Amino acid sequence: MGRRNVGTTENIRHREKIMPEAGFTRPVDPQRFADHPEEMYWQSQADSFAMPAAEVEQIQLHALRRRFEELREKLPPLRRLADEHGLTAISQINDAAVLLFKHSVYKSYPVSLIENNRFDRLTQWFDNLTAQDLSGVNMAAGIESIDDWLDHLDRECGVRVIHTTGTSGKLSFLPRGWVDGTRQLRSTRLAQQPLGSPEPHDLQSVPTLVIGHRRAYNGYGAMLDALVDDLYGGDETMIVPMNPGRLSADVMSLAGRLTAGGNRAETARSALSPAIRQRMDELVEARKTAPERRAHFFDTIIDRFAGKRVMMSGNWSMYDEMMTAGQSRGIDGLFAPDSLLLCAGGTKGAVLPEGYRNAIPGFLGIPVLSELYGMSEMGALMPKCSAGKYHAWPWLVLFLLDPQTGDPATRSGTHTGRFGVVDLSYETRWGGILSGDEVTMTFGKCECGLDGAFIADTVRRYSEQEGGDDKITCAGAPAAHDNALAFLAGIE
Amino acid sequence: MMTEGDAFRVPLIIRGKIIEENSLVHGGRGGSVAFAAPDVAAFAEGLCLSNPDTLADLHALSVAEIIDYLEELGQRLPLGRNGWIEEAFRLSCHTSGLGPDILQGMYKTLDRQLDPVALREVADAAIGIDYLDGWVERRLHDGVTARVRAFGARAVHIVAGNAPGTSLLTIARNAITRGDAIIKTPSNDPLTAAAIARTMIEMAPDHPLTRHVSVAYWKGGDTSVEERLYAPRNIEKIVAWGGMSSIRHVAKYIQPGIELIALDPKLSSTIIGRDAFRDEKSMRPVADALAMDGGGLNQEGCVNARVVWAECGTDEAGIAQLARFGGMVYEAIQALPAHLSGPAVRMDARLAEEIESLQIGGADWYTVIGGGVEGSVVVSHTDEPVDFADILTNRVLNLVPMDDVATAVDAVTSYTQTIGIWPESLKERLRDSLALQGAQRMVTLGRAIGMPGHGIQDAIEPWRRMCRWIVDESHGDV
Repeated sequence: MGRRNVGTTENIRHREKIMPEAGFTRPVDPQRFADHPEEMYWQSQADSFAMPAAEVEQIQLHALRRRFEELREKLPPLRRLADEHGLTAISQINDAAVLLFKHSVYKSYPVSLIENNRFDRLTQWFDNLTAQDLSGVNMAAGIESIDDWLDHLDRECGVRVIHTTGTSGKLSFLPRGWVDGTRQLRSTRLAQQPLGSPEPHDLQSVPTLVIGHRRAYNGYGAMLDALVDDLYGGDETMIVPMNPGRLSADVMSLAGRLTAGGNRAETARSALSPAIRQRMDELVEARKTAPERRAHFFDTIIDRFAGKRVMMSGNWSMYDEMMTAGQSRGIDGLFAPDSLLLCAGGTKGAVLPEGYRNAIPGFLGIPVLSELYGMSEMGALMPKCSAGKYHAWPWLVLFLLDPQTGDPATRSGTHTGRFGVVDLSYETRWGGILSGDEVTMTFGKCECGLDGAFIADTVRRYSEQEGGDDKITCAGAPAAHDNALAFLAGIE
Repeated sequence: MMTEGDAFRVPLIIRGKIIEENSLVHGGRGGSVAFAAPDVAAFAEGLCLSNPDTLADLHALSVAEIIDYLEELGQRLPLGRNGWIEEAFRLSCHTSGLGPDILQGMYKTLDRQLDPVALREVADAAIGIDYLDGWVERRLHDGVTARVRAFGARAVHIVAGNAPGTSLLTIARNAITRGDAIIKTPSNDPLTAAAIARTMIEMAPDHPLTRHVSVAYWKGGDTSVEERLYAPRNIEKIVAWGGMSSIRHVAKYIQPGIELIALDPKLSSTIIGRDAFRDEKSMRPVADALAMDGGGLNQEGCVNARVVWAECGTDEAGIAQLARFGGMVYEAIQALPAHLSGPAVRMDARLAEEIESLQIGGADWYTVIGGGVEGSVVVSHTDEPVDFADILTNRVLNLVPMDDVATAVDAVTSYTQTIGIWPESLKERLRDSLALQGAQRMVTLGRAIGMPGHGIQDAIEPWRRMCRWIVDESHGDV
């Protein structure tokens, strides 16, 4: 099993190569939606949002029951959760509110499995979270790192893993859970299309700019791989990344563990294999030169792509940084107006200059920056409408929970509480997840005319609200935690 | 939003003077209560004691007189005798992680912390009463005579709020060491220190000990207060309890002339030797003792056990035995008396989520006994603690099996404060290794949450370090 060569034409995934028009709508049969909710992906955006709310609700209830029945026997965590709540059948949508996984379910393994290279046992744990069969995975095949393990699952088992960094530096592993590989590209398309506009065309010749690593096992990395494989026909040069390398899961994991190690960090370090230690050192070195590299990349973008049609994803603070760099060179209206730029994840805690919401699209040269709400656990993000609300696709069953009791709000009117969702498009993993976000959610008609569930543009993390107090206690070891976070923030 | 009229009122006290005007409203802990406190920035100049000469009055007092004063203060403090303390207790019921029964027990017994015998013992053990009361002469080998005396210092005390005793301990330490204390109260207990100071004012308004205590609440990091206060012309020491955010605020002011005495946040653990796991009969008393270390005071303290290392073996039989032991520990925690322990007042949301996720997704590696507000015992199936061991609270213990106690010794770090050990002989065997690894206090199992009067805390002697050690040398006339 050789390593994937990044950035060469050999870098073609195990999937069947498909035609450039992949990711576009396909003919669908609405009669099948209740049994096959994943097929709703393939109808047009307009059709998805034109479905009457009552009909969507019926489809969702039926599909929820179906997914639950299919998956409860295959996924022990889902079964345990249902048993714990004495839930044997879903009679109404809100019954499923108790079945939302907390995010930490996806990191409920002992971190020592990684420290001790027990990827066989990590696979056993992970097998509980996907209905895809991993029992035959050959773990004797020289898997010595998380990166190897992720590659192996991707190539040999067809399970794309999305990992995220937890607050403690411990990685969570989430199976992407799509049998159909081209769905990733469709998901990207859905995000790129501003709500109410037509499907974008001719994208196979539009380059994608990446302020980050070319390769990563996160939602974004999955999208880039799908673009290369399914849109660009394997042509790596269509992706223009700031960093052509890989965002190594091992290094992310190590950074968290080392900084969390207190006075034992050096001991932990001495136990590392030389290869991993070298990767770590490279990363620390790379962090030092990061500001220059970013500046250089912005220059490259301006020089090569001014006036051109491009695709890009980012958050407000990233675009703001680009704007500052561009304006210092007297640039305005940078890209072609039919470029596809999207924005998710808010401001990432940065305080941005007043009026940035108008200034940034103006600088980028586009009429509107598509804003989206969602999380890695969701297959498709929720687009923002003209009234500034994020709308749920018909395969997303939204829940609004009381942050204290966990009780779901009634499915009418407007409520504020914790955001939860069951993404019915997942066939091989349970799509139910509870976020850490406080949102204001409405079940009903939006000013923009759409009917169904939507949330206001007032999302905030519960952890942010609880932070910043002035409580002092003698119990705890918080320094390590803070250090790990600071370090990881510098990597991404 | 609460208006000022609805809120608890926290006074600003500057050396015997009570200030209640010019208030700002601060959000309370737990989202249920707010409190109003004077804007300290407006009074910052008065809060600074720029002339250290004014400490002379304190140094005219003997330790005996100081202890008499504290004893009398102690008599006036217990809940039921004192309206200010009553109010502090009521506010704490909204802000503390301890339940009302536990808080009531603590406020009722505040006088015990000022027991004259115990105070004299710690003053003599940690500092030396003769050094406090006068110059202690020593003849050095080269004929020089050195006379040493422990003087008081001007200090800001950033106190922890997880138990009211912290505020009283600070006032007692300040009195014995003859310092001038400015106590910065935390939002999880903004009123106890002020209640004690008001009682001092009521008892002896002009006494030097009363006139050298100030109590203020400002939000940690407020530069309009801290930039003026934290300067060598105003203070000599900062005694800071608490974690990163607390230390981060003061760290930038540390400079020559200001010493930081850091009482960092710590965690504590337990080591239980193999003999405990012989049978039901041997396990029961050990489980009872452990319940006190882990469940007492709702596991809110740094002294509370969290990870418990058990030399029961990591084979199937060992883990099964540990699970039986875990059941006993859980029962024993539930049976603790209400004034010592109770269900969680505020659940740590992240911890609750981690435990639920272990139950759902980590069943191959962990057994969870109990759960929810009552607390739980998590039994690891390998010789490793849960990955979230740093945040264990709400009466959640993690029992970790091991084949050899060396595993437990290896796990000790500089964050480890107390280790409860059973049996005693094991404590003696391990103590040097544990100390070298970073542990700071080894104690008989079941006795972790008490702190006797040896004056040692976090591997330092805060009593001693709060003093300024001054020497007078005589080399003979020239």
